Amino acid sequence: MIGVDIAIIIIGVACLVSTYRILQGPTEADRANAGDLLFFGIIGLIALYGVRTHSPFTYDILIIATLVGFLGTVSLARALTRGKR
Amino acid sequence: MLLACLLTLLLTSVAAAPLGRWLGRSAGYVLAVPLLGVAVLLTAAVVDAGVVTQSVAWMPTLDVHLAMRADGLSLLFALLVTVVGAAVLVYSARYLGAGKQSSFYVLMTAFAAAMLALVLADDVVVLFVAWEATTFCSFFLIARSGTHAQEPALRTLLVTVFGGLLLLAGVITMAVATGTTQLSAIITATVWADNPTLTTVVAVLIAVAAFTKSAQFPFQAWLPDSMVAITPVSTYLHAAAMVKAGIYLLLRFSPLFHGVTIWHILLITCGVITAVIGATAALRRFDLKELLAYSTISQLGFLVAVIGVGTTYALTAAVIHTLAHALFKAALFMFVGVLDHEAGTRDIRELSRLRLTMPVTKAAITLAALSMAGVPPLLGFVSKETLFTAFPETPGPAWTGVLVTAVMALAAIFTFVYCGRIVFGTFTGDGSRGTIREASPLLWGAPTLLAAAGLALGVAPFVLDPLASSAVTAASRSDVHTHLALWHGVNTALVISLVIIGVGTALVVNRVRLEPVVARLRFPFSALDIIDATRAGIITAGTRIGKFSGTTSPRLHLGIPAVVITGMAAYGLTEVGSLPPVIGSTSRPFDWVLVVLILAGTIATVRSRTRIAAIVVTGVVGFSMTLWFFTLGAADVALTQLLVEILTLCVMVLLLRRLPRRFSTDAPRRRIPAIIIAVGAGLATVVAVWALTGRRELSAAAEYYLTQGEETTGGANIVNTILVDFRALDTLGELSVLGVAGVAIATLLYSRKPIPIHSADLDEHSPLADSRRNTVFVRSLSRVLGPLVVLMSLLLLLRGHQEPGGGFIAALIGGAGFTLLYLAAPSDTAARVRLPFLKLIGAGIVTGVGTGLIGYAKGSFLTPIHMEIFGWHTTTALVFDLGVYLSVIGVILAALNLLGRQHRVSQQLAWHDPDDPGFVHDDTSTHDTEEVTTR
Repeated sequence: MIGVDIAIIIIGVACLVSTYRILQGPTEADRANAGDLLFFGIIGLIALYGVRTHSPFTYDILIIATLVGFLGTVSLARALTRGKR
Repeated sequence: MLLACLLTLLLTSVAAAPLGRWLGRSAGYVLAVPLLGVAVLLTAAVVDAGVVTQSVAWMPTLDVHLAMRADGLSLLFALLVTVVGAAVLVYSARYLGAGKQSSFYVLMTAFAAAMLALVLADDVVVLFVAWEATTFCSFFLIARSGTHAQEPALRTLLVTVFGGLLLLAGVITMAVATGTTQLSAIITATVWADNPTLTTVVAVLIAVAAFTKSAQFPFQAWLPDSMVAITPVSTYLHAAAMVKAGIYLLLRFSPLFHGVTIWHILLITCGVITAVIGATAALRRFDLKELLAYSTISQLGFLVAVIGVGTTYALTAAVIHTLAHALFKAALFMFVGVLDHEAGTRDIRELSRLRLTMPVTKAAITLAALSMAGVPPLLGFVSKETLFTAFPETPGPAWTGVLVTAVMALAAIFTFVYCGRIVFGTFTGDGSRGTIREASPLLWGAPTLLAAAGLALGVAPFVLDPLASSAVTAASRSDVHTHLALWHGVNTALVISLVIIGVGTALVVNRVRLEPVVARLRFPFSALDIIDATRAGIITAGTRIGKFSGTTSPRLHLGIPAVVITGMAAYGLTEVGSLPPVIGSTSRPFDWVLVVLILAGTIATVRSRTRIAAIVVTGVVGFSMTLWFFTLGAADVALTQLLVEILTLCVMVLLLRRLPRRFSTDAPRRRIPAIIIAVGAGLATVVAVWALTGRRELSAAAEYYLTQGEETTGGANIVNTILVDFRALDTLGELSVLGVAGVAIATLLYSRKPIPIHSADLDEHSPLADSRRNTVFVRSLSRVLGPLVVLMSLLLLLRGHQEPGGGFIAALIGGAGFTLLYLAAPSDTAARVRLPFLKLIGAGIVTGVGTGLIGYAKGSFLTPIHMEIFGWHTTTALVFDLGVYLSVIGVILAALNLLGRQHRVSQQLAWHDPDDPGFVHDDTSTHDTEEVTTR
């Protein structure tokens, strides 16, 4: 389990780093990209936490999150062009 | 009997409407008959029995009775109301113009009824009701004179209602103090002698109430103002009847407050001031009606002052002068009306240029004015003699009697002078402007009778002895026998009268030289200005107070509850010591990762300058919350949170393109209080959550759900069984909320055009600009993902009872599928999903409620029914979940379809089109020409 803990810490740090980029991001595209990265970081955390706690519903959440999660990214891309397709 | 009299007048008022329509102005002749009848009936009854009482239950639970009592005092005022009322009605029958006069006669007779109820009331509540009824009749009678009368009518109403409410306060205090609402019992109650403070308070309340009604200083301003009403109204209300209501009240309560110092001081001071102010003002007026209005104020001042003196002789004077004043003032008003009617003017300066060949008018006005001036052998002389016999009896040190008498003598001299002005001003015409002939006897008949009555009663005042004796007996609660006479021998009063007449005559002779002198005798401000300033002040104060919350900015409306919550938390801190201890550990190391992430996201959200940044960082918070819910073991909630987060982000982006890129920034002076309030409210919430959670074992309900839930419902997913089985009413409410939100979106966007889309400044020549080609990736992806999403959605819907899922989650995934279709479409027009979302919402709610109703088959509303179909455990909860599903899909589609495209009327109801059932409209031509380039 020590590996999982290390992975959690590493992804957590990655999340914090991408959060920093979101806060700092000189352009909005930087923020949107970092947001995308953070989202997948959190999916990773969900997976690792699920492994760590043997939660039976981890896969449900992972499947659904990955299935619809990129919609947020596409929406943000649309927002950057102010709705222009 | 008394109730019958009251009822007669009320019925007269009801009958006045059709009579006024059929007979027009002549209805006055008919309507005068019941008034006179009531006068005769009442006189007969009181002469026969002395005191007549009658009572019927009205509000027995409040111990309020419709109690009537007629004694001498009531009879005097009742006669005044009915006889003068009848005279005015007869007069009105020729004064008014031809045509329907329903509203005038209805109000006048209603006023007579209210006034009769007032003087006969033996219950203080009935007294108050009648009091307010006269106020409202007066308001409507003034207001019906036209638009110029609205302001005076309003001022009259405000002043008299102010007094009326003080009367109500007095009435309630008296009722509580004595335990009864019966007027005659209240006056004789012993509590007044035991509790002087209470008596003083009630005395002031009653006195001020009477002052407003009887136009006493400082409330006199409304009376001259209300002269915009037509003459019959001025005659009846503002000379003879309504202004006497205050006098009646003072006389009625006179035995109760006799000896209460403040009562005497208040009445005498205000009465004397009013008498002088009114007489002085009357000296300066040229409009006869205004002059008479100020004269009324002055005469009422005499009455109030003499009631304030309070001896039996003073009360006799009050009673006689009330009668005398009603006679001469009503006659004068009506004859001013006659002059106005015939000559077309009431201005003394105009009238003096006319030759008036009006013998009767001349005689009657002279007679009435002489009575007002107090010249023998008229009733006015008799009453003034009694007044000046009473004034030296003023209670208090000896000088007060002398002072009051002297000042009143001065007021009486002024009275004499303005009476002279009326007579000589009107009738010394030079005829340069033409000749005015006498009016019809039908017009001058009634007022002439009143003026003549003044003469007859002046010559033979002893006729009034029985009436005056019984009235004074009632007003003083001691047996009094008056001996009215024209000639009392040589005494102080006669000397004063001679002085008044002598000085007065001298001044009248020199009145032309006097005019420039009195023209300067004016207040630096009028009382009307004070009323108007008060009103303006109240309105300004109201506006100021209203401004505190009168804003559409959410800042203030959020700030106030936040501050209140902080205050509550601060108070709650004092109770922290009594809390039970925390059970177990409420935090784990992993939580701190999330706390840091959420903190970073929150700080970034409040600090972000652009809207996109705000949405991204809000997403950080939302996704961290998802993870947190998951780590706390709430798989369903985590799923819902995730999906709602993504869909919210998609919908926010739809709105974002219509808004500026950046937020507007606030000045620090607005931001700093906001920060303080926010930090306070945040700390309050932290304290509350820390103090109030994690301090008990599992609740009994949770225990039940965990141990018995599966057995009862056959579902292993406790969250879902709670949502659809145990507490399905909440879910029904939620799905209705979502449905209504969808309908509200539709209503709002159909009724109002949204802000146009701000288009970005993009390079049109770039290969990325062609939306047909650059959406290839998402469109290809959606081919694969679309079916997967549909399958996932169905799977979650079906398995919800056993595993994470259920109606909400399934529908949100379905909604995500539709969002994908929207995002993948190459143009806004193509992006519309042509499903009738409002019908979906309706179907969802109907399904939910219908499933609930099926529950009655087994138990009650929303009871799930379980059955085995082909070996599958099935339950109506699944159908309920379907209802939730439809409703949520409906609201998501409403948001996508209505917010996600250009607003165009022709397309608003396009989903009604039956020929176009397809999901995605394949029209690729773009209509996005409405875009507005802003930056």
